[in-house]
Amino acid sequence: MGVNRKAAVASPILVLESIHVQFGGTTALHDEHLSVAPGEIVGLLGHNGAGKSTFVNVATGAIRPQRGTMFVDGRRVEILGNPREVERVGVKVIHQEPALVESLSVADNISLGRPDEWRRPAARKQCARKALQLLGSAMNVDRRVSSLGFGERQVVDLARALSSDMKVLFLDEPTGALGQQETDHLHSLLRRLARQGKGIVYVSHDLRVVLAVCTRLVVLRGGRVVLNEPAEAFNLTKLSEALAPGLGKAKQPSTKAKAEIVLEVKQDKQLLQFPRGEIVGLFGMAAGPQFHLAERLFGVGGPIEATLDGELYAPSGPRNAIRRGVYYVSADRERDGLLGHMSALENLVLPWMERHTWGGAYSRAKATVVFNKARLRLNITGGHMDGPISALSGGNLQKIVLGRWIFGDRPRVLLLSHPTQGVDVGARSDIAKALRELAGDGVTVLVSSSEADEIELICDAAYTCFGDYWPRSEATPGWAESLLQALIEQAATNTETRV
Amino acid sequence: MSSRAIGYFLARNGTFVGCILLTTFFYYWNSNFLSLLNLRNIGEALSALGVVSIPLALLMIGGAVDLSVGSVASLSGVLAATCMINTGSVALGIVAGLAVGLASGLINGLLVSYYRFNSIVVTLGALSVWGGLALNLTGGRTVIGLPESFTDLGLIKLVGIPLDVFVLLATILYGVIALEILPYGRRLRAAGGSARAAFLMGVPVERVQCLMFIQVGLAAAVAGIMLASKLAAATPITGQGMEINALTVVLLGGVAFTGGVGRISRVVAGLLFVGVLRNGLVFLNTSQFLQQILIGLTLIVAIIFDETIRKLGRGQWEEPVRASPPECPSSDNLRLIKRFEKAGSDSSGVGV
Repeated sequence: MGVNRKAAVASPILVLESIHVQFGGTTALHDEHLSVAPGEIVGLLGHNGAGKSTFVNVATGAIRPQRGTMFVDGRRVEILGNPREVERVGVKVIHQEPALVESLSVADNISLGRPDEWRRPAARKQCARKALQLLGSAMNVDRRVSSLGFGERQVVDLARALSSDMKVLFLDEPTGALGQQETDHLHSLLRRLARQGKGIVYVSHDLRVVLAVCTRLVVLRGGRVVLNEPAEAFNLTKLSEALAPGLGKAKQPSTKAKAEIVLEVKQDKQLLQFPRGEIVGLFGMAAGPQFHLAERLFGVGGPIEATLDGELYAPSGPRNAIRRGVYYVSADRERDGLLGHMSALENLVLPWMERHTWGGAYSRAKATVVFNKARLRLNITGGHMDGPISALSGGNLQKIVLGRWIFGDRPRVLLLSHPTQGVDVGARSDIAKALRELAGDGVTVLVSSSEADEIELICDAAYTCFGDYWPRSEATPGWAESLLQALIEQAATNTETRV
Repeated sequence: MSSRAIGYFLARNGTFVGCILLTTFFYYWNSNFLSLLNLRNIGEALSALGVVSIPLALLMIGGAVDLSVGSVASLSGVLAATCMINTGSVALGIVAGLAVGLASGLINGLLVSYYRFNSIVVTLGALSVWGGLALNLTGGRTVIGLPESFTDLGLIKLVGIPLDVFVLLATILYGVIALEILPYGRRLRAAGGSARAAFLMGVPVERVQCLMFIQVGLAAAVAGIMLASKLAAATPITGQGMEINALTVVLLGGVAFTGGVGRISRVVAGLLFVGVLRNGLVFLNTSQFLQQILIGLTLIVAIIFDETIRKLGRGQWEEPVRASPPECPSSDNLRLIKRFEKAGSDSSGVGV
C-alpha cells in the first residue's frame, strides 16, 4: 500500500515516550511508547483495563502521567495533562458520542471555542465549508445539529477537529453507534485524512473494523504493549489470538439440575428463556439491542412481551417492576444509578424506605443493618456511610448500586447492564462472586453487555444479540473469543442478506 | 481543628453564625433588643413569612419552586374575609381560604410535576392570575368589618406567646418531621436532586413533588388568613412581595435551586436572620428603604460566602487517598484520577 511506504519513511508526527500511569496501587501503563507517523492509521486494541483508554487520555491531556514525554512534530511539549493546550498543538480527539451543541448550527458548532469564533458569520461559514470539503461533504452549514443524523454529526465533529490545525486525530470507539454504511463512510474519510498526511489513532473493540481500516496495529495487555506490527500480517483469528492468548481459563460449572424457567421474553419470533438460579448474558454490539431489552423489562423505554413465573409480565414502570421483584442496574451509573447528593446509606436503602421505619419514622439503625450486610458481603471499602456518595470510588459505587438491589430485598430477576464497567479488577471479582452467590440462592440474573470478557466472567450462558435470531451458547473455555466470533459472523451474514 | 474542618463547619452552619453575630451587634447597640417584648415582635413579624418559607424550602429541595405564594395568600385572605362577612361563619371563611390554597397547589402540581412544564413559568403565570382574581373579587378595595371572633385570634396568647408564633413553630416542626423523619423526606430529596435515578428506584417522583406543591399552596393560604386576622382587614395586595421574601429566606437557608440539598434548621436560621436584620434596623432608626437594600446585599454576600466555604469544606468526608482501592482508568472517573494526582504518586505499586 502506498500509504504505508510513505509512513515508513516519514518521521513520526506524534511520539509518546515512557508513559507511566498509576492509579492508586494499580499501574495502568508501564513506561510504554507510542508513535504515529504521517499517513498512518494506528489501531489501538486491548480488552477493558488493558490501558488503551489511558493512552488516549494521556495523549489528549485528559490525565497527567507520573512519567513520560510527548513530542509533536519532533518538538517536545511540556503540556501533558492539559487538554486545551494539547488541542492547540494539533492533537484532537473524537469520542463515540459527538460533543456538539444541538441548538446551534453546523457552522457555529465548528467554530465554537476556536479563535475564529469572533469572526464575521460569513467568514465562519466559509471556514466551516472548507473543513467539511476536506471530508468530501457538501453539508449545508446553516442546518441545526439537532436535525442531523448520527453519521452526519460525526462528520461535523470531524470537521470541527479539522477546522483548526490538526496533526494527529484520536478516535475512541467511533463506530459504536454507527450503521454499516456510516462506518464505511467514516473509514473512507479517515483514509483521505491519512493521505493528506495526518496521523490517526483508532481505538476500537471491533476487530473486523480495525482490520479493515488500520495500517498498523498496537495491542495492549495489562498496561503493556504486547504487539506493534503492520496490519497486513493479520487476519481475524490471528489478531484475536494476539489479543487474548490462551483465554481458556476453566470455569467451575454451576451445579444445578434442569431449572424451571422464571422469565420468558418474546424477541421477534424467538422466545428467550431465563431459568431460575442462572446467570444469562445478553451479548451484543455497543449500544446494541440487549440494553434496550433490559430497560423494557424494567418498564422503561417501551412495551415488552414476557411472562414471569408463568404469569403475564407487562410492567408499567419501575415501581411496578420493583413490586414484581424485577430490579435493574443501568450501565449509566452516574445518571441512572446514583443520587449524587445523598449519603451512601441513603443511596443503598432508598427503594426500601418503608421497611426501615420505626413507627412510621425513618430508622437509621434499621437501614444500617442492611448497609453493613452489603458492606461485608460486597467488600465495600472506604468512604463513610453518612458521607456523600461522591467520596467513593467507581468500584465501590457500583457495589452500592448492586447492594441496593441484592440486599434491600431478595430479587426474583436482576437485570444488569455492564455491571463491571469502570470498575477495578478487585471489585470486578467481588461483584462476580456476589452474583454467583445470588444465583445460588435461586435468583435469575440477566447481564446485558458488549464486553465478551464480562459475559465470560459472570455468566453461565448467553444469547448473542444481533439480527432476528439470537443464538444461545453455554459457558466453555475460550468462551469470550467464540462469543465475539459469533457476533462478528452474525453481523457479517446479516449485512450480506440486507444487501 | 484544621482549616478544612472549620470550613466544613461554617458551610453547614454559616447562617447560624451570621445570625448570632448580627444579634450580638444589635444587642451591643441597644440592650432592649433581646427583651421579651422585642423577641415577641420579631416572632410575630416573621410568622406569616415563616409559614410559607418552610414548605417552600421543602418544595425547592424537591426540585421545583412556587412563585405564586404571595398571590395565593392575598386571594385566600380576601376570599376568607368576604365569605365570613357574607355568611357570618368564621369556620366557613377559613375553609374557603384554604380551598384557594388547595386549588392553587393542585393546579401547579399537575402542570409542573405531571405535565413537566417549567415550575418558574407555570407559577409566575399563577402569580399573576391569582393576584388578578384577588383584585377583581374586591374591586381593589380592602375588605373590612371582619367578625371579632376572627380578628381576636391574632390576640390569643398561650404562656405569653401569640398564636401566630405557635403556628410558625408548628410549621417548623412539620418541616423537620417531613424532611428528616418520615421516609417522604428522603424521597423528596432524591426526586429533587436526581429525578431520573429516583424514578428508576421506584420513587413516584410526580406524586412526591405534586404533594409538596399542595402543601405550599395550603401554607400560603394559612399565611393569608393569618395576616387578615392580624390586620383585622384583608387587602388584595397583602401578599405582594411575599414570594421574594420567602425565596430570600430559603436561599439564605442554603437550599439550592438545583434541588436535593437543604436542611430545615438552616432555613429557620435564614428566617431568623431576616427577622433580626429587619427588626434591628428599626432599632437603629434606619429607613425602610435601606432595609431592603441590606437584605438583598446579605443574600448575595451569603451565597458568595457559601460557595467559597463549601469549596473549603469539601473533602471532609473523603477518605484518605491511600486507603481507597486501586482503580482502573476509564473516562468516567476522571474526578477520582484528579484526586490521586493531587495526592502525589507515592502509593506503592502493586501492578496489574
